[in-house]
Amino acid sequence: MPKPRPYFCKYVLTIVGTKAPKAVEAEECNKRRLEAQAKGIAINRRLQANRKQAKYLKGRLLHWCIQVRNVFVDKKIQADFERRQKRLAIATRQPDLYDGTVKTFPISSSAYWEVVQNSEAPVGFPAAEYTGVPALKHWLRYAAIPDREKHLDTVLNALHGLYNAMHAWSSLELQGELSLTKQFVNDEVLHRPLHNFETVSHS
Amino acid sequence: MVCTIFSDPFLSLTDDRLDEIKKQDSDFRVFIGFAGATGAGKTSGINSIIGFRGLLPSSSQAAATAVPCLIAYNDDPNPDAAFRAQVIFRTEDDIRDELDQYFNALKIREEVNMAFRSEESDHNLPGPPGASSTSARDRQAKLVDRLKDLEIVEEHTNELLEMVSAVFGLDEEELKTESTEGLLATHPDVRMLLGQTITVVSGDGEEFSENIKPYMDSVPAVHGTSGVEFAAWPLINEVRVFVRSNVLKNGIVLVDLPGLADSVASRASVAQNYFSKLSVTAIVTPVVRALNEQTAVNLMTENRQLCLQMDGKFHKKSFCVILSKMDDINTTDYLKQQKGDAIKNEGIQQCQGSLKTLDQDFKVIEREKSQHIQLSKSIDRERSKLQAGDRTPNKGKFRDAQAETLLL
Repeated sequence: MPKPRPYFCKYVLTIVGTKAPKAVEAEECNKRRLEAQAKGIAINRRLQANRKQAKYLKGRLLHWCIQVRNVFVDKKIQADFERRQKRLAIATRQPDLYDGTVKTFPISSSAYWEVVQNSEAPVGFPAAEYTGVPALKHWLRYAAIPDREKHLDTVLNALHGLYNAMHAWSSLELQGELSLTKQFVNDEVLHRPLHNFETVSHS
Repeated sequence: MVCTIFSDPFLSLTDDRLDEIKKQDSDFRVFIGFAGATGAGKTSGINSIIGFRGLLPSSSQAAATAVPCLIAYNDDPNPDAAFRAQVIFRTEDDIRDELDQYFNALKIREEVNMAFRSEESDHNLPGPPGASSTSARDRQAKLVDRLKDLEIVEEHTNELLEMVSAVFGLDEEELKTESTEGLLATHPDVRMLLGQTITVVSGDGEEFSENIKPYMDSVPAVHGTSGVEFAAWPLINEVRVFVRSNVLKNGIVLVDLPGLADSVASRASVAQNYFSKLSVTAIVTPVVRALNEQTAVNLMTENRQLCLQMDGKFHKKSFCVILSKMDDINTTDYLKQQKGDAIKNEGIQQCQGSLKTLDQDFKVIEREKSQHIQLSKSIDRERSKLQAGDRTPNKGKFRDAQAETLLL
């Protein structure tokens, strides 16, 4: 009679004790795949870090070039402006105002919008200030102050005149029964323009 | 007592006076003008100052700003009227005068031309025997004067022709057979606009910009019911735009002027008329142009009238120069040009050195990445094969090689 049992037992023992070759191969393959993925992530990180640093350095170089050019152009403009101003007779009467200098504002509108609207700042312009637009805005408002001051003086003088007339009228006509005081006029008449002025001067 | 007080005529006068003062305050304006050549970046600059990208149309092709545009603060609290504009057209009398001027100029040109030709032929004829050289010189001088007259008339005619052609779509030859009455009668869409103020209102900036573009640039568009396209800019006095921008508070009005030294002289001359109103003037020039011109602000050299008008406010508190398009620079070329200065600057030297190293590293990393991609692909292929092998059905046969060996 054949002896299947020992062989059968041996076979069962063998199967239980070791893994099938294909399973081992698959496991090896999976392991290599995971290692490759990790390596891929590391390579991408290195690339990102490289480009980030390169962008920063390019930005510095761009910024330097722009600044050097701006200084050069500014000098030319100042020289040109001084020459033109010297021809004006009025310049000798107001030397503080006509001192031969002029404000120049290098700006980049396109860079400004990229900074303001995009999450990533463009190369060479890490903040809005670098685009020159905020400085220009500030100067324009500042340049309008003399005219605004003159206008304010005119309005205040007019209101003061009006107040004096009303005060005189109230003293004469009403003989003190209704006395217009400065407090009354401030509170009842001037409160809005005063409030506006305070708001603007604090802003 | 109170009733008596408030019916007093003095108080009524006081009330009127107070209203006058309030009106004087609300009407207060400080005009800040932006002047410069076409395409210098005036409108783009203004858009960035007021904080609305692309609100006012700017273009590098056609001269986008063809009419003066005044930008002021919008007091209207209604969000659907966040952007408002008033397009103020010229009067019919004004346009009639201009057309009459044009047709008169044509007549004068013809007369001057005939006089010139006649004097030229006289000049070429030999003089009578015994004629002095003085009379020859006189004839020469007359000829030169006539030539100058002709140039002036030509210039004036061309200026008017540009505007008339833009509106009526006719060339010089076609216009010779026309008249003021005839043109206005055959172009009812044009006539309908004259003397009008068109209001444009929108709650959306983009929509508003599209709606005002036909009035602000020189591109023909349909402006009436007949469907005929024409450029409306010669018919427009100015466009007033109202936006809620903090920089415009307290009466500040920015004035965007058509390009000085524009190819269309008539548009350039419109800008001239505004200079006397301006409290502050900003000359806009691209920085590259300012760099390359012999005189930095060459625009002022070209336009002597501007120089004269500027004299009253030609100082640092009411005049500035805006150098636009500052980002327009090629770093590599510029560093080569500025080699001397760049070498002296240690920081720049380090930057350049580091950048070179980074670029070399980048190439190495890129190669690694490329190899890695190949490797990943081969691993994926192997994996797919293994997965395909596992899925093949076992038909009762024993496939485990090791087990088979043991059984043998």
